[in-house]
Amino acid sequence: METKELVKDIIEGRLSMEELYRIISSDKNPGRFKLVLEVLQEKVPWDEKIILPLSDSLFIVCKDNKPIVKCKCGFEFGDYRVNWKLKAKVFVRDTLESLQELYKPFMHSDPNWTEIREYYCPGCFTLLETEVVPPGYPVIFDFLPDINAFYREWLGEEPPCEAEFMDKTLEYIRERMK
Amino acid sequence: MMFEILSVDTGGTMTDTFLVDREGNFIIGKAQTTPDKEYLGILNSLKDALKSSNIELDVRRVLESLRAFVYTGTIMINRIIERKGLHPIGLITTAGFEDTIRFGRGKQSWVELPYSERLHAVSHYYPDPIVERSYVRGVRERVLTSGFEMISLYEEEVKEAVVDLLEKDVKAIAVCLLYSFANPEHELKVEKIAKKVMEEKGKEVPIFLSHRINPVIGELGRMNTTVLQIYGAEPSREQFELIKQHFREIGMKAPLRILTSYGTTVSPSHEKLITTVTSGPTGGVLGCKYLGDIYGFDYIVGTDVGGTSFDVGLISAGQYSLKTESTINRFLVNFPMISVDSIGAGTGSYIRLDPVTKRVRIGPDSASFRVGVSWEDGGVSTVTVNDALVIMGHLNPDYFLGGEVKLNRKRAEEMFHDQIASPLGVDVEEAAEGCLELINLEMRMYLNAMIVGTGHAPENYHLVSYGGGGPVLTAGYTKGLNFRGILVPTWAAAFSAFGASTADYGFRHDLSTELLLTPDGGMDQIVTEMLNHGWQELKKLMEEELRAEGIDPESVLYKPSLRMMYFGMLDDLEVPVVRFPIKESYIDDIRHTYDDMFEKIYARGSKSPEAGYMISRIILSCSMPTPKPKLPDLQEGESLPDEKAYKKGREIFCEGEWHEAEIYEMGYLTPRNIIEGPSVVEAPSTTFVVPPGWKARLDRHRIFWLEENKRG
Repeated sequence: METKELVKDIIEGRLSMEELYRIISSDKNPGRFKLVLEVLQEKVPWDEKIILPLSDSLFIVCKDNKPIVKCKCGFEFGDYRVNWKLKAKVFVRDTLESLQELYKPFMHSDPNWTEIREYYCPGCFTLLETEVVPPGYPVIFDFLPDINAFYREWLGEEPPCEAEFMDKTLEYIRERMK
Repeated sequence: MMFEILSVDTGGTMTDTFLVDREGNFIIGKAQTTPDKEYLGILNSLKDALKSSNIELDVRRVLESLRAFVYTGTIMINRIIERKGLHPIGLITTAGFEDTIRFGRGKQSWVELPYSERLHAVSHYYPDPIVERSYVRGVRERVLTSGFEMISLYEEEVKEAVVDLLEKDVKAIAVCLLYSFANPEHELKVEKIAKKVMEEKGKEVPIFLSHRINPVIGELGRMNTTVLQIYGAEPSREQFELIKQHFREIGMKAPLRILTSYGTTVSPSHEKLITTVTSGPTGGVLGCKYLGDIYGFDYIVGTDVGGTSFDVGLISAGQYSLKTESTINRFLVNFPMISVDSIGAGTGSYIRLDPVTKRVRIGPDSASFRVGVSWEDGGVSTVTVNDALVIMGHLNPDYFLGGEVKLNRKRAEEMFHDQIASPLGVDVEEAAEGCLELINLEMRMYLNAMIVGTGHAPENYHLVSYGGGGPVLTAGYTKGLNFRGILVPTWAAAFSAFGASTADYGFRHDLSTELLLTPDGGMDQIVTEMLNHGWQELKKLMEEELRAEGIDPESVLYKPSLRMMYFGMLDDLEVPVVRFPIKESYIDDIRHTYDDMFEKIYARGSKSPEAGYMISRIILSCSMPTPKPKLPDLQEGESLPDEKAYKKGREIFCEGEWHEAEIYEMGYLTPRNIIEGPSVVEAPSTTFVVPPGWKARLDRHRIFWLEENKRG
């Protein structure tokens, strides 16, 4: 059976590809998710309970019995049902100069056709996510999980804290625009 | 007893020896492989062979009488797998193709994975490169596939590249330019410039040119072959010399020969030693071919059940097929290999239940030599196919490897109960038989698919079953396939080593080409000239190499052949040619030979000579007179086995119930003995199971013929 140490090695990227391949190709470990949460919880400096990791830096956690998005640095993005990108710092590369900071001439896209949007955490300025989309394309809501269903139907237990499954991004924007 | 031939197979864990005397009697030995000093393992294995056959002979006496010493084994492949070859190597290639070796046509990221893992991109990964990117230098030049020089070689860039590589302290330089097999001028020029630079710098490293190592189309395969020759084969040469030397010192006079992947044997000083890298499964196929020649069978399927894998090789129309592309530790190479396909199912394969779906899964990984949980000292905690066989009484726990390894049946039963039977809610025996049936089914379907895939039916083929685990499962994996005959040699465990000893002393060279024989015969004259020229060139190369090995080129038999296909098809066949140079009129004979072969190997209906023929390779093989083993040829006796052959009976589990089975000692069975199932024939190196409803007859050559009794 997998130990917590092994899961830690997977998360920290300390395994060779051969070792990793053996894990990928063997049977799924039903207890893996719990171990992953334990390891992640030990890595972050705050105490709120992690319900589901979203990315390397972002987690859905329980705060005051509500699921919110929180960065590993401690910055809180609020209700997980609102796209966290609305509260992130954005840097858009839509000019030749900004694109050529990253790419050699002629190796990048045409800024009239696509732009690169980089989302940074306001707390620690970690690059959290990048979108490559046509100009004017709506901000993408990457992942809106149904936490209740995931916990009840897949893990077979009660979710640590509950919220009705819905996309609240538009509602949030509407309130802000008033 | 005067022994004539010694054949050795050093595996990763065990070294097998196979000793044959003048009458075809043979003995088998086993010992632990000693990776740092291979000759010790070989010597121990040889001593074991003598000891277990109660032959009081001094090793020196045995070695002195030998006429042949054939080696197969894992020395070279292990060096490559463990990345302990010559390092670092510099590579000079055509500019723009510097990443070819790293990309590996994308295919190298998944090519040796099982099918289930090929489907998932997440399991794909590239092998660690043997030549790092910073050691690859491109030089501008271009030769077309026709051999025409389109862009001349930028000689300054070659100088720069060589200086740079020398500064990086490379131990050798490989040169692989596009289409160098069609026109080697540029590679030769690179060599010349490199030598000059080295002279100026006062620093010399060997240079290897791809058109010499492997003048075959496909730059990745040619590049990998050249690099692996330097990395794996060159350093292994010393190791082989060392083995040779040690055996010389204790009396051996016969030359050491190493089995190649295309079915011949070469000396350790052979230039293209890399062709001996994966000769393991080759031996078995050669053995089948040898049996086929004796019994007069043209269609044979060889099945090798080892601890880890199930290997299948086909002989059709009296020929084994050579594949021109394969992999070595994930690197694509394109020198010829006897085509053997395998799946990860052997007697050591782990049996597991999927924790979510409760589906039984066998392999693909295995306990290999550590048997299973029934061998406590093996340290295995997951049950294996061996454990199932022990539970069902098919394997004798007190006579595994002749009793050297004591198996614990109770432990096997307990762990099988906990891991498999109890979660499935069935009895232990029932679960064991179910698992066994599953692995048999996997093998059966694989066999059938392979044979049907070539357009034949199992009814056309004789099946030979070998490998330590073959005879235990033979009945299971052949049931219902209606083979013409099922042969189980009594020396199944050492059959691959036996096969290796039947190989000729010689080698071959392949040269890629694209010669079109148009339907109107208008090209015949030019093709004739090109073929003769090709063979001539290859012969020159061969003579050079033979002289370097200290062999008189005049004493050698040259066999020209070519690979061709119908124009527009993808798979070529190898067509033998009687002699060269050929006359233009002989082209017709070549066409007819190919037509006949195509018809025998595929089907008459798919012949398509309308568009003409394409010759894809010019091949020259050479061989020298080679001592070969004889099969034992004994007097036939009674159908009832001698009393001595009977051992204490035991119960075996078959088809859902326990049967009282006869147990025989293989060594005491004599030709014409008939074994009625349910029976088990035991020998120290293997176990042969004859289930109820089956019988086996031992023939004059000490080969069992297994058949199912006709029902009703």
